[in-house]
Amino acid sequence: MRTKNDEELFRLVKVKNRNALEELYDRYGKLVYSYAYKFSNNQMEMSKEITQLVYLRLWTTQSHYTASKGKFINWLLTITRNICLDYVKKERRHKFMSDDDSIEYIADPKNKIDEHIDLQLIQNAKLELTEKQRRLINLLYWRGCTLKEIAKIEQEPLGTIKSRLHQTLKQLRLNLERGEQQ
Amino acid sequence: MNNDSKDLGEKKSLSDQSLLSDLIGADDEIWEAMHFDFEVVEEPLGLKEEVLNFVLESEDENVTPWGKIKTLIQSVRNQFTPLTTSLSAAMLLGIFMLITPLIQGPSVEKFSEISATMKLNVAEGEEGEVYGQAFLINKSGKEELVVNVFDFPQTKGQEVYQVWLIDNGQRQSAGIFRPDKEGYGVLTVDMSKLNSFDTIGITLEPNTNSKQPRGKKIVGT
Repeated sequence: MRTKNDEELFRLVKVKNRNALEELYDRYGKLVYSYAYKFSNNQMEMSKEITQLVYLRLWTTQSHYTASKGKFINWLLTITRNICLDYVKKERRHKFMSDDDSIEYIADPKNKIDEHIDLQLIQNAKLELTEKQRRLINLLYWRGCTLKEIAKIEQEPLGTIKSRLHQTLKQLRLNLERGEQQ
Repeated sequence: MNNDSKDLGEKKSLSDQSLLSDLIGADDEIWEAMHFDFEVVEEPLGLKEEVLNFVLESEDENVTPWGKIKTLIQSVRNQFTPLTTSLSAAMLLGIFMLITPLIQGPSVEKFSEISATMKLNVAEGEEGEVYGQAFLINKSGKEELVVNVFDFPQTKGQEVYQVWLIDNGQRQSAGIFRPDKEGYGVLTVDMSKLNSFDTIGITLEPNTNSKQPRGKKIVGT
């Protein structure tokens, strides 16, 4: 199994090969858990449940992954994010909304592991954003808030939030491109 | 938890897509880059076993016998287009029709038994060695009359021999025949449409149109 690439492993998972699923866990289980850990604002139980649901989805999904779609980890984290959003919706997202502390402070990672270059890139790119921009991205991406909800939380007009988001994404892309060139 | 209907293709969630489409210049690349904005943490001990057990146990719980059948049917259906289905059905029907006679095996033979035998003797005033036999045969509840005659003279022209069934003087025709060169003649009659009878007579008729005997009697019981 270790010699197989991700696409081959996933193809085996689709025909219910347990060893292939285990190998995919060995490769990406930690990343999925870490993603869920951040999304859940460091809640261990929720992160464990989400990790279970992600691998159940891999086991039962009718979707196909091919290498032409990009890296497997990108695809897997998209699934993870969708499951996180579903989970949070079910847990009544407004519970998080009303918890000002969790909104005020969403820890940015200080990653010490260099093996995933993407992690470094996005984190460096984010560091160059303003505090407000980072907050906006965190609420949007890591809390799954809509722009309307963010406007309410920030007590600012929706137009202002949209404009800030536009600027933030533009800045983020510039920062990413600069990071890739270095 | 089954979210397959939602995740076909594992697209980004709807709110993400509509949001991004609103933003000039925003693209998938940035959104995907956001996936990696997290710190890798150590997973709790035993998580791997928990995850694998959860997946496999969920599958066992979710798969009912009916679910298995549905999966099977679905996988079979996926193998067939309307054309291949029609061709396969026609082929199966053909095979079925071909092998049915072969696989029927030792079918129950129709039971046949003689329920009555009558001798046909030469009629009074007639000369010769003509004679015959009549058998009433019960074939599994269905009655048949078989008339055998021997040494019958050859017919001439349109002449035929006609068999009459007589009940209290009432005659009904059972059929006509011509003997072969040896004078041997046979007639089989389905009795389901004929009335019962007491005696049998055979006459030589000028043609096949006789409703009642017109010719001379050759043999009788």
